[in-house]
Amino acid sequence: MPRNKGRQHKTDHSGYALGVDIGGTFTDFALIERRTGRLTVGKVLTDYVDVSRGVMTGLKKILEENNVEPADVRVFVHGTTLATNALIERRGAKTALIVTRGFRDILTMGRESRYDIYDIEIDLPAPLVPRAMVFEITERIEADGQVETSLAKRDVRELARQIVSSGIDAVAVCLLHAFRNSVHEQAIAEIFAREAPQVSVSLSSDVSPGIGEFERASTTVANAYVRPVMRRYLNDLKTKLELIGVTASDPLIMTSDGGTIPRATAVEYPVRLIESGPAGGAMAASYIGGVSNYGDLIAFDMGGTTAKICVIENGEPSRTGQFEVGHVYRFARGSGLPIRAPVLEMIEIGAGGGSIAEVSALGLLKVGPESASANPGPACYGLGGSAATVTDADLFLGYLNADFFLGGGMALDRNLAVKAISEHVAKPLGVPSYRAAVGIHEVVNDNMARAAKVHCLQRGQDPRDYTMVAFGGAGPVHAHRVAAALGMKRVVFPARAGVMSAFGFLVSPPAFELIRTAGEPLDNVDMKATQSVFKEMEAAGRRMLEGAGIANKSISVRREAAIRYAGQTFDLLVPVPAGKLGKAQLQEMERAFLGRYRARYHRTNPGHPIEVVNWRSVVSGPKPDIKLQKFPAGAGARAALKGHRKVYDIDNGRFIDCPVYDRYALAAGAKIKGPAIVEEVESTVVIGVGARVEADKYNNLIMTLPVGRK
Amino acid sequence: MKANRRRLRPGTAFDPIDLEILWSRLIALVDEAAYAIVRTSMSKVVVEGRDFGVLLYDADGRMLAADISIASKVGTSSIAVKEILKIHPVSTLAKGDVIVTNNPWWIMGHLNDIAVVAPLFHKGRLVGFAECMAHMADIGGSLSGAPREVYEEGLIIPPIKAVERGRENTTFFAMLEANVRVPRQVSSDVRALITGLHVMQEKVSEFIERHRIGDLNSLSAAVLAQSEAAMRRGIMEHIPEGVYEGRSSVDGFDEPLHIHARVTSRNGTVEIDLAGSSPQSTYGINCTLVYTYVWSMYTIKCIACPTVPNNEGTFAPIRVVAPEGCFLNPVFPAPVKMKPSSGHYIPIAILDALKDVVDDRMLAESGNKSLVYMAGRRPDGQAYSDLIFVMGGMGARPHKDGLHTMSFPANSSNIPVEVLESIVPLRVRKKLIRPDSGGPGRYRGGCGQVFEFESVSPLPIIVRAEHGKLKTAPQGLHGGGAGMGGRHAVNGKEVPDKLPVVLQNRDVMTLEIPGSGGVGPTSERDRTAVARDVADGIVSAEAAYRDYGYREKPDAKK
Repeated sequence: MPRNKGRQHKTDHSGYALGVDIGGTFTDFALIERRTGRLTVGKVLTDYVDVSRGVMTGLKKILEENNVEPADVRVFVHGTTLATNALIERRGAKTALIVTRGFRDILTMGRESRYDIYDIEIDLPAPLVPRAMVFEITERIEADGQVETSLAKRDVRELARQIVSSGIDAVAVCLLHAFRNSVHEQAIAEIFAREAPQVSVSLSSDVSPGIGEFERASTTVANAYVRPVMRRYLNDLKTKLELIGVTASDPLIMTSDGGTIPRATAVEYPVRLIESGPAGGAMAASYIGGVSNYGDLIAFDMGGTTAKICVIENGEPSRTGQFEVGHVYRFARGSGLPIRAPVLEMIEIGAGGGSIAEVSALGLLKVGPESASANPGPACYGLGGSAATVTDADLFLGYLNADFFLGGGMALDRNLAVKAISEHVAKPLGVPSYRAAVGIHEVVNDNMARAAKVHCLQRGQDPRDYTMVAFGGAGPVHAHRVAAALGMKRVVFPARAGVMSAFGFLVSPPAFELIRTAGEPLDNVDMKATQSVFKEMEAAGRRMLEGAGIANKSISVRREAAIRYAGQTFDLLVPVPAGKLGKAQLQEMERAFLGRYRARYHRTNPGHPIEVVNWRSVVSGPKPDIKLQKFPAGAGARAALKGHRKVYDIDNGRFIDCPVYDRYALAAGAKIKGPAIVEEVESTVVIGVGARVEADKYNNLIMTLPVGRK
Repeated sequence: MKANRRRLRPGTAFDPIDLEILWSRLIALVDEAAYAIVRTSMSKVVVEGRDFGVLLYDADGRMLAADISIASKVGTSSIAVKEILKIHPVSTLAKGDVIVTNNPWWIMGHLNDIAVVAPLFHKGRLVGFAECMAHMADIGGSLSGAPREVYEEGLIIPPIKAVERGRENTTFFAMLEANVRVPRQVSSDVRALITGLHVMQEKVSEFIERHRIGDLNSLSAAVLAQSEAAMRRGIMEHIPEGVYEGRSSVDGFDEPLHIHARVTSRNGTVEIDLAGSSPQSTYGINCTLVYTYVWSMYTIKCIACPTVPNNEGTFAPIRVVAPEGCFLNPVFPAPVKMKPSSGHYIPIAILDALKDVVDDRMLAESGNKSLVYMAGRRPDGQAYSDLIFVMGGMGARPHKDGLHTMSFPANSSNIPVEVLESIVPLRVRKKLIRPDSGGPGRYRGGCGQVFEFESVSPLPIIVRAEHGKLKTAPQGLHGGGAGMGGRHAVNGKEVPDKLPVVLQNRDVMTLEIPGSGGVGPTSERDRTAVARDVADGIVSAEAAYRDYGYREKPDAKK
């Protein structure tokens, strides 16, 4: 029986759906037999020389292992860090930027702000386009959208020829106030289409239509910079897929905001794909929560270098419109390139298994954000790393099994962990080694819990009302303590947490968000004009999805508006009622805005005018109807007991003899009481004192924490 | 409570792991208040310019935490709480009281900075104080001339209760709104600061409850002790013992004002004696002592221990002395409105003193920034008043080039041109890096910018641009060359720095902001770096030849 009541639609259930996530280290595969919901997973090392070759290798492997004919792959959903890597490693196209005369330095100047005021040796990310490749063009549009100086078209034609002759592949155009009036940007695109059809042109009014010339230029340039790379890759992949017979579907591409889009759209707006991996994780968390009937969730994904936290309300991950990519300094905000595009709202903290513990300038214990990464990695990997890391502490405390890390694929050396902790933390702090190890574990947990709490509170939410979904290599190890620190009552540990993103791709609906600038008082909205703005956006969205073979009648539209008090800089998203826009609908929006405003800031400003910043439309297809295979009920947890080992009990401050279970042997309904450890290949679930765990019929573990703790 | 007493002793006996966690949580709660202010303020100077600060004090009035990453105010030396308590003793304070003041001798040096202070209670007991302060878009006073007394500079707010036991003092808000040009904006911003105080009260109470510590005193003692020790270690490590002298100057009005800094490093402490600096000015470029403190301590922190959070312990090892009546410690009612145009140059004198003994954390002289106030009325009668920042270059470092259009020492942020044009009736004609304004050297100084705008208003716009040091070029370090100085002009004609000008429709104002100094001899500069600068148009072909003997290959162009 389908779990997502009311969301499913009649579809063909034959064949397989395949999700492929290219990550920094591994490329993950999730293969679902659509009739039975049987899920199998695969992992290969990411092939940096030829990314699509790596995908094909892993794909052939997983198909062969499961005796699946390529032609039976009916749905192929792909997410890739290719765009992100091209931005970070500066391997994008040779790109030029065209700006309004007098504003050549938009990118170089940025916001003219130092993200760390005490660091004299501060660095900023170099712009993607060097100053030499920024070209000014005579034209000017005013703040109200009026044309003040018309576009010097002859100069544009001349420039187009010059750009072609200097071998530039991609052009970004960002003219002042183009988000209000795109006529000059459009004209430039037309001239390039005639004069330089081989050059790919990205317009700021199309890619990122919002006020603020630097952020808009930065986003448009990023889009232009990765577009040729992305086009080449996706075309290449398509050809290779066809060659082996995966012909049933054109690949769908995962976006940063939790939707999938057709390949053609992805090539047009690659800047929408940057955070696809984390988005897949959040969408998977939403799905897994949903099958247990939990809609208000906090997705907690802790890997080797960072932890990511995403708040999900009623099954919908929260969304935002701006983030940064390629931070040059730790994860400091302001040290990356700003990207203004729809994205699932996540906070990323420099807290992972590889995070390094050391003594701070203050003489206190500091964990992260520096990371030993995968190479040399934590001291216990024995790959030459000498720094004490979170993984070393987790091993010291017995949470990890030296002989069953990655399912025994990698032996850990406890002695090296002890040595690193003792030398770099315990001795300098003057505390015993076990206290240092506990300290590392506690400090990293607190760093994550604190960030999660501030994130929730800023949004007017109380984490105690939420269920955590914990995944990533280190997530299940730390989830219990983090949840307890946040006062949360429940944690879900999904099965196969190691390929959550790839799985998440398969449960994400086709969706695309469109934005149009409004800039008008809420009580004076031009209803007729707004109505046609929505119509125009929705038509564009529908065309896009229909191009991917989605039937018009199964397409739905969600309308939103970004609203703020006039004069403020930050806005809040409120739903726009469907159907005809009238006074009643505007009042409903105002009430929604005031409610959200009060929740966040504890007050409102009566009498102060409210304005609509922009109108948004999310056009989506149906949610994929994925039903996971059920595990049979069976013997109790005892059947899955592997043995006991010494594990540190933080609440009581001592090592105890702790039972260890095999995740894969847990039948549906099996119950475990903490303290306990549950081992699986990609991670380890740590269950603390007082917690209770039950395996559900999908092999997800549901942990209940004792109430009353804070 | 009892169970915790063992660990919660003041001083270093605090467990370094518990202290790390508690301290981080404390700073996070101050940050929460800062976010609330950013998100609810109506002024670009607060939201985009981040010109505000949030501070937490213990019950004894010792500052124990400040927001870290949100605000740009380095307001570590406000003595508002201590002074307010002299007038409103603890016994007269109740939960829900908010005291407001803008005394320039207490807070940040001029009337535009308003602070609100609230006593914080937990279970009926006073546990500390919160202070939120921000730069207001307007504070009344004269826009047309050069005030000779602080009375001419705007509304003076003595420490009074803006909120009493949770009830807003309508008299205060009426007085405030009647005295400023943009009443709604200013009163909203004061209310945004009060929101910050509410957040602090709520969070501090939760914090004390959660950790069962009763009050903030034991934690405060540990935090201050740890910070002070770290700062002492930093000083010992980075500033060799000795007495060093340095100088700097600012343009002044009639004649330059000189800053003389005598820096003594001894046994983990630093004393900065500003005796010998010019006497108090009759113009508003005087720095009250709190503001002189801010930039003196900032400089030492950058060198000695940049990562220590701000609190009273961090700054305990640093002593700043300035004789009363000197322009860095003026006597009431001296005019002080333009304190940034002199205060920002105090670090230059201190860095000058330490340039030969400090290795890494050093830089050549920077081009600072121009603060540009714009005020007027729209044809519909609505007033506007806002402040923008136009940055100069940041000086070269011993191992790196300087940064373009990045203000040092004061940080802030620009306002996007598109936003500016939507709130003030002007059209920006250009905003460009000034080639060759970064001084040459092994490492090149960052360039300043040219910012040019014209009035598109049928009504006059009053503009006052203040920089403080346009006439003297920012100097190089260790043999590096000087950057370019700057100028302010209207319709091509130079206008005096710091004095207001009235722009009529179509008048064009041009601000050329200084670049910054280079570090080291030009002969040691990497050739590819010169070539890149020439290709990017940062260094002109002529300057490349003059300074580096570099000639572009004829075919290398584009």
